[in-house]
Amino acid sequence: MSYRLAITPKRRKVIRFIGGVRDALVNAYLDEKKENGVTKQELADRVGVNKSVITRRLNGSANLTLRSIAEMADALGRDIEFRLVKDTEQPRPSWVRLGNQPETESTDDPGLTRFSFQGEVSGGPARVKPLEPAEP
Amino acid sequence: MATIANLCESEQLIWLDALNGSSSLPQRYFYASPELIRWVDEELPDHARDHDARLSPAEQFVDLLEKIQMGERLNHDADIKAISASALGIWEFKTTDLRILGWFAAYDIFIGVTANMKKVMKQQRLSRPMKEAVLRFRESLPLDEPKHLQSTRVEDVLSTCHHT
Repeated sequence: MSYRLAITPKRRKVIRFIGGVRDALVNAYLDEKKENGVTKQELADRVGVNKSVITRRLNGSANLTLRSIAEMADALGRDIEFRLVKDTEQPRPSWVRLGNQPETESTDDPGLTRFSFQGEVSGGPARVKPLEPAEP
Repeated sequence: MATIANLCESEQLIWLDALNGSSSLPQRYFYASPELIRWVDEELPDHARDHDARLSPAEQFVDLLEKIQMGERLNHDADIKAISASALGIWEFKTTDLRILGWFAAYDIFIGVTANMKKVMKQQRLSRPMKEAVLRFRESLPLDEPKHLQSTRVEDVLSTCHHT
C-alpha cells in the first residue's frame, strides 16, 4: 500500500519555495562554516544584526523578507539567482540559487494544513481525506 | 519473514509518496508504519506552527518528504541524526517543529514509525517512549533479517547527506 500526499500544485509550490529558501541559506552557512570556519556571530556582524537574529533566520523561526535574504546571501558571499520558469519546462521548482546551492525563495504562509491522502494499494483504490481549512 | 514489498501488500508498511504524480523516480524511499500514517493523517494537520514562522508542521512534513524522495541535500544534525547506539540503529528526521523516528532498513530506505511535535516531545518527555515504540514495531515486523542498518554514520545510511 502507498499513500500519496495529494497536494495542489499551488500549495506544493509554496511549500517548496519557502522551504527551499531556508535550505539554501542553511546549506550556504554550513558550507561556509565547514570550509572557512564562519560562525553565526561573524555572520551577524557582517549583516549588522544580533546573533539571535541569524539563528532565527536559519532555524526557520524568523519570517524572511527579500531584503533579509539578500543581506544573508551577501554575508555568506553568495549571489542570488532568481528565475521563474514555465512549469512545462521544469518539473520541479528551482527558482533561487545561492552560489552552488540549488534552492528557492520565500513568500508568506499559504494558509493550509489539512492533508489529503490518496491511498494507492497496488492496483486498488483507497481513502481520500478531504482538505479542510488551515490554522485559524 | 517478508520483504518490504510483501509488507506493503499486507499493509504492515505504507510507502509515502511525495512525488505527487511526478514522473521522477524516488532517489530515497520513506515507508511508514500504520501508526505514523494515522498521526500524519489525523493529528499533524491540527498542529499549529510553533517555532517555524513560515511553514505549518504539515507543510514542513511535505517539504521534508520531498527532499528525502527527490534526493536533495540533507544535513547531518540539522535534518537527520542517529539517536541511539549503532546496534539499535534508530534515526530521527528533523524539521523546525517535527521529529520523525524510525530506522534504515537499507541504504536510502527509511522506515518511519512514530512522530511528534518537538515541543510536545519535550513537554511530555516522549523521547524514550518513542524510541521504545520504534524498537517494538521493528521487533513485531516480520521483515527479512537484517532488519536494520547498524551504524550511526550518516554516510552509511543516506546519500547526499553533508556533515556539519
